[in-house]
Amino acid sequence: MRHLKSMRFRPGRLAATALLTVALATGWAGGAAAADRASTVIVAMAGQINTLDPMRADYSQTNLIASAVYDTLVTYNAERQLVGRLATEFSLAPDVKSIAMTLRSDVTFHDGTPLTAKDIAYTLDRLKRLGAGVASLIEGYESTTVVDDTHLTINLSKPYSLFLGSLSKIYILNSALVEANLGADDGQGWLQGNDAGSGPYVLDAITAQDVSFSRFDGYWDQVERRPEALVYRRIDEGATRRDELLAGNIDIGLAMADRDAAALASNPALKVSLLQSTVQTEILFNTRVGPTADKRLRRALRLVYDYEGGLASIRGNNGVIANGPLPTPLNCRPDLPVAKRDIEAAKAALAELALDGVTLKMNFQPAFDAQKQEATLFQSNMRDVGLQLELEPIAFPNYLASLKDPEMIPQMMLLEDFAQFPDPGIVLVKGYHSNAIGTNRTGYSNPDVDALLDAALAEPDESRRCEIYKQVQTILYDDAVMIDIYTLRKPAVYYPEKVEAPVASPTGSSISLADVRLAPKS
Amino acid sequence: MAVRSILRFLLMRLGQTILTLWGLASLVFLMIKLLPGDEAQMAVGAEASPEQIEAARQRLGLDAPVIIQYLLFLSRLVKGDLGVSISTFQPVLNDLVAVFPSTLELVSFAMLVNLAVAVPSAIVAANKRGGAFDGSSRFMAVIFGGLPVFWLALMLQYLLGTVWRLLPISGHNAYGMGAPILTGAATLDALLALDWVALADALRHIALPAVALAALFSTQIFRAFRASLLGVLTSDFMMAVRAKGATARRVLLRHAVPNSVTATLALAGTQFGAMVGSSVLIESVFARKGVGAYMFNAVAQKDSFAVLGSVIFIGAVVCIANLIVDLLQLVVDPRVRAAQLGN
Repeated sequence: MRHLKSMRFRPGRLAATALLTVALATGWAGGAAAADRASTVIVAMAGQINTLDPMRADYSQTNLIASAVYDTLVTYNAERQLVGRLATEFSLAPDVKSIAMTLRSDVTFHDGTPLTAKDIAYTLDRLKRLGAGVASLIEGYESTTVVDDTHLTINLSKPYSLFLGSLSKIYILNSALVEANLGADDGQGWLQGNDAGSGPYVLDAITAQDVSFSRFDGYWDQVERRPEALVYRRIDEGATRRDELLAGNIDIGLAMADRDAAALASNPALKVSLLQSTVQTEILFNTRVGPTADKRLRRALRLVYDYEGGLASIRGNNGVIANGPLPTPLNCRPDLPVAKRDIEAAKAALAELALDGVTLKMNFQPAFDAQKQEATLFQSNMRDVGLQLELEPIAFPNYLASLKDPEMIPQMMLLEDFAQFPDPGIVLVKGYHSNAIGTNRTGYSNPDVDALLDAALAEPDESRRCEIYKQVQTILYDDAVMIDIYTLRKPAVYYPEKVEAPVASPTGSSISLADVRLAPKS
Repeated sequence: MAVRSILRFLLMRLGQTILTLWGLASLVFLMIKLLPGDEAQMAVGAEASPEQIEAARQRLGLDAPVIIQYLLFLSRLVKGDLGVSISTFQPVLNDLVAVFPSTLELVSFAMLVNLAVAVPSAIVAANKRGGAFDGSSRFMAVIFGGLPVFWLALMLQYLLGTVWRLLPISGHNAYGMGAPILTGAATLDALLALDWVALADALRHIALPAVALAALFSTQIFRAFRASLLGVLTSDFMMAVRAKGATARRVLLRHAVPNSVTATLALAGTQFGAMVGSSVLIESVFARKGVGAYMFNAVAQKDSFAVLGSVIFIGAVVCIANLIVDLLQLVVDPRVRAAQLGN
């Protein structure tokens, strides 16, 4: 029975241990202050950071971090005009098959290596080799001719006027550093957690809860009030982000729920900035097969959704009701009518279609609360016109897989989508060209639209492209390829005493960390 | 003879463990392949062209027949290679080794809270059966047993963290307070660095998640242990012990408790695995890195090797935990020892 002795219950010792634990837990660390917190800005957002390899800037979290650590050749300004960053000059050839560029000569990577045209060639070649992430944006890339350290020509296999804009999403790598850490996967494994950039911040550490950066003092574009350090914290739960903001443990909360933003707006220490995003909520039709192949039905259904009610009750009025297939902040949009509910007109249009007994089906992603509510609202709206709508949840990978075959595309799909960069062409070509299998989410096929989009891709003149895009949008609107619901404004909550109001990134669904600034000292 | 019996027992358990893990891996592999969604597309992104998707399919070996993929997977598994994640580009084992210490830390603390609350409560409740403590603790067990973990976590966070500011509400450390990362478990790292301030900070950060995770499991241990104790306390041999003049304290702590502990020990072992599974919600609410969150993301991305690796890894940990419990049972209970080892 020796084992029984070892199990003697000692309540006194247990109590002492518990007391010590409580003391440790509640007291000791309470007053300790972290170093240089005042000059550090902590930003919180949801979502796993799969990799820091900027090739995967198609992931929102990777793009956010890449925006701090890396530079791009070009970017978009507040007016959504293309402007140079690493490139001081750039021009598209008249045949739209090459781009000549001049680079800044004063740029160095974080390890002190000067950035040259060779790094641009390396970055683009690597993307072409690996064919993943933002490589989908540089369709037709063939090669880069390096003229000298600051001059290069990018060669394309076919006319592709979207290439220049796509470069706003291509972050330039330190070729020597990546080559030195190539491994068996072209540096993907190494770049997952390491920095090969020339951006305004150097990657310091990736810990269990955050990614931290410190300001790169050798950065070519020095601006005032750029924080000394940045920390990106992943906090998935909206309520936790809200409470951490209230506790002062984070300075900027991104992707805040509309209701949380509304509640926090009443706190005098906090402010809400509504980011002018290109995120649009829409219901996409399968225009190829099934009942929604009939554009009369699609037009009628466009009159059913309660736009104003949905925007107010589900999105807290943080958005603008759509007027056309493209998000409202984009340029080159024709003057199309604002979406409006008209039950009587919908009923009259539906009466001509003999839909008795037909049940329509819509897929949605249940992981997103607002979309779930919007799906339910539409189901209710459909009952008002005598139609039954069956709702079916779908996971995003399954939805993507369905896009390979127009026959398999959901009859209707409620989705939030955004422009990878603010060029109408990227949305239109990827979304509506009949050759764009996998990204044409409506199965739309219209030879007139294809011809117009092909013409735009081969058109070097921006204003003429703009006119073509307007024509395409008018056709798409007339064909009612989707129910364009609203363009959203995503709330970001921040401490105005500490930081300036965050602004939307032109090339993402959130902000750019490089744009974070401390508030001016009063 | 005893050594041979123990060795035979261990070998049998090892065989069972391997069979369990093989079955688990095969089942999950099949489920992943049956789920809709294209792994090659997820590997290259939503906007990839059909050509890019096909190139990725070939690169990842997804163009081979499923049975070949399965056999290749098993052959790698035997060598300890769990494959490479399509979303992080890292060997899955490396990913798991990076996130698992944090989950293990959380589950260990939760188990500590679980046992520290449930066992003494059950002893007191069983000893004073029908009394005020027994009644109120059973009532509390019903309440906490019925509370969704997610909701409880949010409430604890709100009340103790946001309103009363007693404890931090998320993360592993306050800004700038963490010890250098050696293991990935903040408390252990602080201990290894002999950084007492960091240790206190890490303990403050793990307090709420551990309590939230432990709550439901404590009610199970409380009920099981109380019922077991009551059974022992009313048995004939306890009458004999009392008749021999043992004090009430001795009757309870030296005779009743050791004879009631076996079933509770087995339950705790099972709970360990369940806690790892439940940790995903807690990690999400309290913004902690962990294997649950890793696996959740892998499923969402249809990252097959990451899902398979996580399941096998967690399965292995659960098997090891159960083995430890079995061995403990052998040590503490002669009846189990006799049944398992035949002596």
